[in-house]
Amino acid sequence: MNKLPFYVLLLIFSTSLLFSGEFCYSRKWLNILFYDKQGDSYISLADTSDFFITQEGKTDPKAEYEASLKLVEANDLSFKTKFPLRYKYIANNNNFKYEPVVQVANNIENVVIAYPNRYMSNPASMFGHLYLVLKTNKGLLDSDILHYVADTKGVGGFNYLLGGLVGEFEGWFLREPYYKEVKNYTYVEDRDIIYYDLKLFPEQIEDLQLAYIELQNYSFYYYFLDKNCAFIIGKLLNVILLEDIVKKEAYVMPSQIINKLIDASLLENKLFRVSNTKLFNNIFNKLSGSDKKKVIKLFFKKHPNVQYNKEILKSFLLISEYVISNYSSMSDTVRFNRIEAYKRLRELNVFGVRQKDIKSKSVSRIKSESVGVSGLVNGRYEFVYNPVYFSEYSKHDKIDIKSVKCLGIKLKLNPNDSNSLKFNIVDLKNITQYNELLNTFSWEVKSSIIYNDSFLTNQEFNYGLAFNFLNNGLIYSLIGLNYTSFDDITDVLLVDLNFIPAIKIGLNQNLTENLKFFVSYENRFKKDYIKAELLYKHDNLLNKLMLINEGSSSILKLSFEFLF
Amino acid sequence: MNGMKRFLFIVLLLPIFSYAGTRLPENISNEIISFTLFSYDNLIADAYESEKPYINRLSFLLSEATNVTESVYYQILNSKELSSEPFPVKYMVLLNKKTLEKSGYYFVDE
Repeated sequence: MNKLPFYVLLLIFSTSLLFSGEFCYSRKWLNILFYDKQGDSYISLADTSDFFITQEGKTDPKAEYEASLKLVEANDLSFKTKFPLRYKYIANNNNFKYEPVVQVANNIENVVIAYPNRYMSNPASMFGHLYLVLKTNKGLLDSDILHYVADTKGVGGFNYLLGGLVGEFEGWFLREPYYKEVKNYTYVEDRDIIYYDLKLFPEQIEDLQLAYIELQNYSFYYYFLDKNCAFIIGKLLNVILLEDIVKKEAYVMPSQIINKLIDASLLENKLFRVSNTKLFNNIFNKLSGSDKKKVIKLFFKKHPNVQYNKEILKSFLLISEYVISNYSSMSDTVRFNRIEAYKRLRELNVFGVRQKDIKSKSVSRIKSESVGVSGLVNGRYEFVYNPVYFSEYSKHDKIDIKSVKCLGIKLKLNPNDSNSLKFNIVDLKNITQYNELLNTFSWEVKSSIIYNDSFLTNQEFNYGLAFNFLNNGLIYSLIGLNYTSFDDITDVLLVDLNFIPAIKIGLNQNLTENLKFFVSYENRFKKDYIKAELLYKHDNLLNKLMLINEGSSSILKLSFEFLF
Repeated sequence: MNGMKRFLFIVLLLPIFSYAGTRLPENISNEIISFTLFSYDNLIADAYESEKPYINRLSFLLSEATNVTESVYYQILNSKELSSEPFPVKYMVLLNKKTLEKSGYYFVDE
């Protein structure tokens, strides 16, 4: 008897079993169901039971795959409709005929990933945000954005911060028209936005849309640090990319996802959109005092047949949508004057007032970390590592100081005395120019723990105003409070842990494109300090020379910090 | 006899019905309303700027919905009447009237 057909069947059967076993633990299957490996087991990030076919689906990829395979074999329409990408993968993997039952847009030319950078008014947005734009062949205004947003239930303040840290909020994928959402980022929050084209094949664009259909009704718990918009968008991209670009880490920031995509050569055609307030300040500060008053009047009183010069009108128009979006009581007047301003500009033959996105020649990594070394004339050395550092020394922040540092470590080596280790939990600066219209206030927050033979702490908050100085710098005055047992400036132990008021008055001045000068008087820790600093930026290297004077003693410090 | 009366009644009212126009399907109306209101400030800016992405988009949406050429709506959206209207809702209502005049369709009940 010829046993060949039997062996062939046996081979096919065992191969299919083997293949089936492999596929349920393959990247594709694990990613599509958002599984993370925990030791030897798996757990899905999805928190809705309906997202799985089986009861044990959240933790058992194999059971989930086998149940899904049966539904595909049974030609289950509900499964194919709810989980079109799983159906596609199973069909392709098992050589079944793939007959899609859901339609996706076939006019999407490319996918853009947008990175609105830090927004200092919201703790969750200080590290930026990420969303995808499904750009159609009819342009952005016909396109949708795909983003992951948390439902914060309207809570604010401390509850919001706590809820975000402990995962109290649910997050959802949303697909919304681009023209609606871009208003939020461009005019309400007024962020700088960087856009990159994602290099995807048409098949991947189709899979992205199918993945969204699977995900649209299911929630994921949202955590500020590790399961945030950047992580979840990264996990979504894992589904369609050939290699994973995000893995579970202690914290995930949007810039990390962008950098990983850049490292994998998956991004091209960078476009940069500068925030309207920055552009406005640039023009507004160059106006004379009387012209500035005219700009401000345009926000409060209707001006039929306005006859102002083009710089006044351009300045007004640049910030007008931001004002309409944030101060609704002024919108009638502003809208009336916008039309009058445009009419006048047309008479003056001035067009192109709206800002345009700036094309970058190349795509470069976002700098979000730093490492540094300092030498002090008293023979001490400092070594610094900031795993999260969005520096104020970026190209478009020439005047304002908006920096975010977190989880920084500073080791101070002192040959003649004990060494110290400082842990900067957060160090946030938002020194931004005030004008009569924008009413923006400046603030600083710092929280440090220091080990110097014993544990010490310094908690700091300062608040005040900063004014433009010669359109090339800022004069600021801040008052605040320290809750501290440690002099953070000279690293001296204080007698007790106490609340101590603080005053800071200073000037930050750009001397050249890359050279800055800072001088300040500070009354902190019940002492008077005068600080002077020269900072030279050479590519990604910050070179600082600092002199700190307190009474009869002075400290000279030379430091180098590399941003990467 | 009653049938004849009903016929005459309808014939007499026909011009009124015709003038009233046809409301565009709900999903299309909603898209036009939403785009007009959300993008009002940009539509106004477009009317005075050299680049007109928002006007082009709305012209396209209206043209697709009503089978009137895009250039007709392009002219309407660039007209003095619309580009001088400082209230978004009135702007939309005015556009609704112009759409009805040009195509017999409208997208919002007044």
